Amino acid sequence: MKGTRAAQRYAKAILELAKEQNASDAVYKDMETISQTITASNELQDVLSSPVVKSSLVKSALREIFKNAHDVTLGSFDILLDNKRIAILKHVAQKYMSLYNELNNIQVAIVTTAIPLDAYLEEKIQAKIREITGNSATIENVVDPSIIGGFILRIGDLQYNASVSKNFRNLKREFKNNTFTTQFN
Amino acid sequence: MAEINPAEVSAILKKQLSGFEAKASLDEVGTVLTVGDGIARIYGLGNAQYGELVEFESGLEGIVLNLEVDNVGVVILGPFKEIREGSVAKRTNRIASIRVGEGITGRVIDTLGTPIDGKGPIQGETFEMPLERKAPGVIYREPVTEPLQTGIKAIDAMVPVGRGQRELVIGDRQTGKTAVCIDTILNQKEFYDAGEPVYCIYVAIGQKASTVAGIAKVLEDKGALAYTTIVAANASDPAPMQVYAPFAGAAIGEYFRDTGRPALIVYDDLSKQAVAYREVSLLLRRPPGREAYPGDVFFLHSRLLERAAKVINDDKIASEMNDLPDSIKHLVKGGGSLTALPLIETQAGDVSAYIPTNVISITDGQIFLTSDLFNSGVRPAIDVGISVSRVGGNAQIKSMKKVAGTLKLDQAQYRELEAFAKFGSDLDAATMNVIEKGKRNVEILKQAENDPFPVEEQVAIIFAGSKNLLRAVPVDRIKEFEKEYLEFLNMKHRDVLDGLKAGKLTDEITDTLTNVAKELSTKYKK
Repeated sequence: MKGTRAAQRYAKAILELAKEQNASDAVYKDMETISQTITASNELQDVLSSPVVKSSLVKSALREIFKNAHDVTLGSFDILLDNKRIAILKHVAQKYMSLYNELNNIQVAIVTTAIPLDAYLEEKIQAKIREITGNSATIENVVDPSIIGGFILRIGDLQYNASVSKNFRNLKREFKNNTFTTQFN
Repeated sequence: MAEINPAEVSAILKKQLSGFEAKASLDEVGTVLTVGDGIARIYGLGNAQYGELVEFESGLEGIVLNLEVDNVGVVILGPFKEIREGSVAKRTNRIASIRVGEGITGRVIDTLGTPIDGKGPIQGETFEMPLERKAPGVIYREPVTEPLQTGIKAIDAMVPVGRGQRELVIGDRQTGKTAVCIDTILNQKEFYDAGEPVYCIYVAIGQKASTVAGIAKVLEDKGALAYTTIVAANASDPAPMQVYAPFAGAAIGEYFRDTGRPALIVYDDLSKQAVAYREVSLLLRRPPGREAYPGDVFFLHSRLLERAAKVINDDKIASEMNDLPDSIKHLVKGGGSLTALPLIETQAGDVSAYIPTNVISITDGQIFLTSDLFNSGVRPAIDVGISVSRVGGNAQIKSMKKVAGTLKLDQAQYRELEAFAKFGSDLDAATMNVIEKGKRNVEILKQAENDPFPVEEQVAIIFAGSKNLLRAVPVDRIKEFEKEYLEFLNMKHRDVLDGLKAGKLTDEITDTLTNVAKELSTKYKK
């Protein structure tokens, strides 16, 4: 991904600074908001990556949008703007979040289900996570009716797929990938 | 449509479903960042290994070829339309391999071993053979000593190929490279009929599907498909399939080699494979080198051709061979061989281009075909002057070796003096003699396509040529003479031919051959 390596370095620097100022939690919240906002708004991403928008304009816009942000966050806007790297702000925010999670031993499990999880199911999934990784994790629930039933559990690079749609897909493939010649007479 | 028995339907469905598992699985996965030109970049897959297969959601597979700081580059083996940004790819913990068994002969398959001839699945037990495998080490090999009869007079006499050898066939387009190799495959029928088949593999890389179909038809018509497998990666297949097709062929050849049997593999052609590899490498953003080929294009060909080998004739040592796949460990026997005939197409006869020089230096000799000879009617258009076989000499049968010993020298002298022949008859007798003999030898070495000669007949006719017994026969009637001479020998002196086949060239045999040739040639005197 273009800019991921740069994002890694900016995120690391921001985290170091935030730790010194005992503000890593506050900055984490900022980064979460930034990531969500940029993901939700294509216009904002367009402004950030456009070379024709003046940097002073971007700066004032960002300060306006994220006006409650911590000083460290606001400072990171400035440095990214000065270095003409503001386009990777979203990646920086995401990297910061994953570095923060790593630092505080927080695992995030993304659970995709067809209907929202209730407390009982969450408990069962939590048990499954402990079985797989040996640790508990904060569960992020994504609702996607297209998986029909079951659930898909994703922790980092590991995926536990127990969805109905996957089984259907395998079944379909089983029928399709067949060099079987019909021998009806 | 005929009536369908419901019981049969359910039986078939049951069979298809027997392999289906409705289980959840824990996989290591990554997310597709970009996909295009047959290449996917995948974020995640932290533990993926070089050469490992990854599987996309649609069931399509890819091979990991680049491991970078934050992503892996994967070449996709198939149509990648269904893969999109954000789709999931998972590790399979397998390396690319192909399933090989006795049932693979007579079939046309693709790079992944899937039959594409519409004859249903490969029959019988199959064994998993990896596409990429290290060549046998020094102690598991033996020098090349057995001949691989190509059935082409010019080759068997002057550039002999031994079992386990790698002999390059090189030449411009339309010079008959493929024809030479197909003839060689056809000539193995003799051994198939005798119950000691030389298993043949024809790898078609980047060719027209119609050409491949044509070749399959020729082989089938001549009864050669029974011991031949065709691996086809056609021009319309993705570049990675074309790159890996020769490796799939080599894996099939290794199955026969390691189970103690002789095999012959034709790579048609490696220049197209190099072009496909260049495409893949450039798309993976590997730095281009000479002629934009990547730095490891030499290694690509050397590791492929190094897999051609003559395995030591000792079951115990052979069973300890390096990198044997687990699937065939219990079947390993010594004494097998894999002979490789790689083809290279040159541009306007330029053998000093990058790929031709590479492959020339890797192989144990080359058969050079030229368009000049081809156009002047000398077919197969083998340029004997620059064709060599570095190891095949030891593999020639004795009778052939004795008879053909002077042939190459005679032809070299003839070519030197050929230019003078154009000045007419102002030449001394010795020169005229060399020229006349040379002309007749050239005529003898001409051969029609799909018409391989058994070795004993080759020896008999070359004997007549090199002993200058055909002086009396006019050059344009040599073919006629050859036919009659061989027919006569087959009818009246089969014992002589059998002796030649066994490698014997006694005074008795030479006397018979001389007498027959002399007697017949008087008929042709003007």
